[in-house]
Amino acid sequence: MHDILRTRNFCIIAHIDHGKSTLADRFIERSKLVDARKMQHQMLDNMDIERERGITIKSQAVSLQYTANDGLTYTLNLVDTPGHVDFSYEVSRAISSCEGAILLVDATQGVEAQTLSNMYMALEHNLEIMPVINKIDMPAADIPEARHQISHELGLDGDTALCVSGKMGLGIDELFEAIVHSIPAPTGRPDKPLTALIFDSHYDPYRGVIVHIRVFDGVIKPGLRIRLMNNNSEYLVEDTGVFKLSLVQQEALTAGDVGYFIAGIKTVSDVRVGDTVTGADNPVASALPGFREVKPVVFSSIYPMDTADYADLKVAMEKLKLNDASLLYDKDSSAALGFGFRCGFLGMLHLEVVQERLEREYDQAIIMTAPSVSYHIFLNKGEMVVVDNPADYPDPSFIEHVEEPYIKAQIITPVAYIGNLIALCVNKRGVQKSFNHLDEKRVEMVFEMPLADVLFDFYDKLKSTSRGYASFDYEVIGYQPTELAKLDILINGKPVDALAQLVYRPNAQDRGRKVCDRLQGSMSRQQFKIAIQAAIGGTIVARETVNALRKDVLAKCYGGDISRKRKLLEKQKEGKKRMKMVGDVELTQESFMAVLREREDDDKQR
Amino acid sequence: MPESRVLPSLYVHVPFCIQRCAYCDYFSTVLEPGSYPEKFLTSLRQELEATIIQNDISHFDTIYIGGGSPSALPIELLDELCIILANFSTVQTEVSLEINPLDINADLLSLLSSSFINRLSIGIQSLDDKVRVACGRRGSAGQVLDSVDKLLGCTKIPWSVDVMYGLPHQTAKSVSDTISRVLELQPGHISFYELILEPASRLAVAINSRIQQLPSQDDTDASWTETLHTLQGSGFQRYEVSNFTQVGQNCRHNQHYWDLDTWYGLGPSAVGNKPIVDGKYLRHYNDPDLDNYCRNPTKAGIDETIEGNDAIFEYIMLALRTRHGLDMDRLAQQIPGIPRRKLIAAMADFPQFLQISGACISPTELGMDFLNVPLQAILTSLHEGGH
Repeated sequence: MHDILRTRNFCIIAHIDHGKSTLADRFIERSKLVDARKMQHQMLDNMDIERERGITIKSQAVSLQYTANDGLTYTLNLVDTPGHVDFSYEVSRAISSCEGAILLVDATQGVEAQTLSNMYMALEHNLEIMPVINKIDMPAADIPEARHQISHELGLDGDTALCVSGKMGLGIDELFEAIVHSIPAPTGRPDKPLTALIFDSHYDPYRGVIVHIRVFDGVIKPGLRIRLMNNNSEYLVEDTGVFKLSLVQQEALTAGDVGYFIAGIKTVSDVRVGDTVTGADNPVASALPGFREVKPVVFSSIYPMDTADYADLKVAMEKLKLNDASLLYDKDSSAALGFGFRCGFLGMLHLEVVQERLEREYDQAIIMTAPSVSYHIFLNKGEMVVVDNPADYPDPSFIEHVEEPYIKAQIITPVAYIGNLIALCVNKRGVQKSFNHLDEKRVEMVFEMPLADVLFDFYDKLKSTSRGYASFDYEVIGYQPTELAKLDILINGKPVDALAQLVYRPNAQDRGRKVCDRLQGSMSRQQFKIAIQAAIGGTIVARETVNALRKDVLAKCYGGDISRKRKLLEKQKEGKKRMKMVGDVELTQESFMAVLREREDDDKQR
Repeated sequence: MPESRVLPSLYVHVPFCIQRCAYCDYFSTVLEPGSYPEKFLTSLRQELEATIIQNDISHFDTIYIGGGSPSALPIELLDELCIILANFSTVQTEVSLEINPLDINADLLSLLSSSFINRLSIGIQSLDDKVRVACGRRGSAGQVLDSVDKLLGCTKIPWSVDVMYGLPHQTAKSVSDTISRVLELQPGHISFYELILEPASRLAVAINSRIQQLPSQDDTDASWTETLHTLQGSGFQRYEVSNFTQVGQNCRHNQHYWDLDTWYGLGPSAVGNKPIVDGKYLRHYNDPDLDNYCRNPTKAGIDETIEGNDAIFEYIMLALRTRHGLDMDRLAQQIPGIPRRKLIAAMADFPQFLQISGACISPTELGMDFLNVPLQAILTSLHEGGH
């Protein structure tokens, strides 16, 4: 059992891409937890998608042993936090399981929106914050500027901030020492009733749910009956231990420890991140503060490309859900696409991650419908219905008024891009709430804007408008009145329910035009002419035509071409599996994607 | 071994060009000092001899000298090639030579007047200078026409012409201008085919980087329909998807491909095919590497056995490309145990594209334009429930 005085629990908070996972790699390497030969890039990012995109989606924890200059060996528990606004609740839970935070600032980028919002979050939890300047090996590194920003924008001591390079492994030992000396040891009493915070969980096909906890008081060990305080469910602990890249069994976890327990829990949905674990026989009176149910903000339906694959998709969704408690779904059905699932996501990144995991890890060919936010629709009769699916949109004559979710968007940008960014936000129906010079070069702006307009392309446009320099963070703040319309898409005169979407009425015609144009661009010709129309109510607001196919590609086929030609036809046949018959018309997955995203369209315009 | 019904054919790949065309991904090297085409010829002779001995061949039904540009070979080497090949032909043998019009000169004309070559395939592709430049075709339209005139003034050898459509800058008007000027020359046979943008070609790179642009699909469609109309109005019969002929001028050599008969492919990158036991085909691919070929001409290749559904499908795919279509009886004879009923059922779903008359299934006029549709269905039916 560890000495609580020689334990340090800390997290690394940073803006996306500031090098958090790489720094974590260095920690792991330096504490000899893994053989240098087996060292992989971004050890803690297990998913392919995490490694490829260079983002952390799941929280991870790792327990490191470090022998400090005082000759004593310390246990340093690093809790790696997700680095994207969609997962800010997970970040908050990870933060609250620590006593200290390394606030990582990229020497080439300086302080950005998430740096600020994460720091506020760490301050709320009374964490000791150690500013650290990373990427000092880069030619564009500006250490004095980073120090200046840390002092002036974050109100921390920029002059004493350590300088490191996660990539080159510079300054890592100094950082270890600083962690030992600056971050307080946990306080907590093993003899008090068990109080532990769940900051994450994951599913293991052989062992069930592995719950990641920080023990604040008491002891948890195999044989103990525990209670999850949110839903009062009780389990018998089978195993406890700590994270060392793999799970390492320990007799018990005591006050101050970070580790895991296993208790025969079947799915991650039975465990809520942020919930408090206590002893069933000797419970604490009140749970740890800060728990909330994470609510999805983006909704979309997922259908199998081939309706016959519904059962496979169902199995895949169930498996995915085992590991992703924030994914919510219900059975859904569409006239065009058959059976599928209506899903709720934490944000667009979460949606894309689910889509990619279904396709790559579970080999599913899927179609996703246009993402929607959840609207509050007030009916003449006085009742309110929540609608996130165009299919559920009531007859407009019954609607009294509609409200849509708004966010508070915080944007930090170099002064040069202020004009364009304000134009972008206003174009997205944003209302400026504050404007704040952080220093002579950069400003912080706060806008209130409808979440629906941020869903599609806001983040990409923000980045392109500011050449990547502006950063963005948001939180949902509530509902405001809006004007809503249901945009129907008709193919050869028949509405395709899966292509319908709910849109801000003044923008509906413009959006209809764009969707028709993109659909036309994505559809392959068929043996008859195809009319694509966008309609609001009964009125056609946009129209495009796909001309009829007149012939195949009529190439030659001589001796050397035969195998090639056969293989080409086989490939095309496989491609057909990725087509969806809607009436007589074949729609490709790209057609549905065209409605899902606005990006390609923007690229064309640029 | 099934008894071979017909004599085998021979394809000779001459891997040299004066200049590479942008759309081409066939194996060929630019003929320049240090190319040593004579080495290639020595190797070719060795490969031919080995092939003749191994397969006990006395002569071929057809010989096709293609490339590359065989007409680009130094005249004495082309002459030598003809002499070597002549040993394995009879007066009945159809012997075709591919000619780039820009290679036509007095030497070539004199060679043609005395050689055994009895069919010429002239690559014109387009008579629109803008298109020719975009594709990296040698010479102007005027030069091409002058050369072909010179050729036709000196020889009575039946000839065919290659014309392409769907090339950069090629509008329907450009194609129809080319076709009408070609028709004035009175060819006996026309291969009219659409560009396939091969990913490895220079043109594909230019298109992807937006340096070049392909014509719109509407333009390409119009190029096709107008030309089809013109050719049919000028006495040409469309006897295969992309081949048109005046009466009696069908290319026998290509028919061997479409019948999946035996042919041998000599030279780097050449492909050969031979029916073997149990309805299987042995496909031989020569390595597309000139040095490797010259080092070891008889071993520079790999074999692939085409069998089962692949063999059935290739047979059907090729047969349906031709006017006279697919003979189910012959297919059943070639490949024992075909799922005959299932295949016919799949084909019967497309009366607008395929007509069934007893054991014979042939494409309709429209079917020749939309073969991929029934072919997809045939593939699906073959793969359903196995064979």
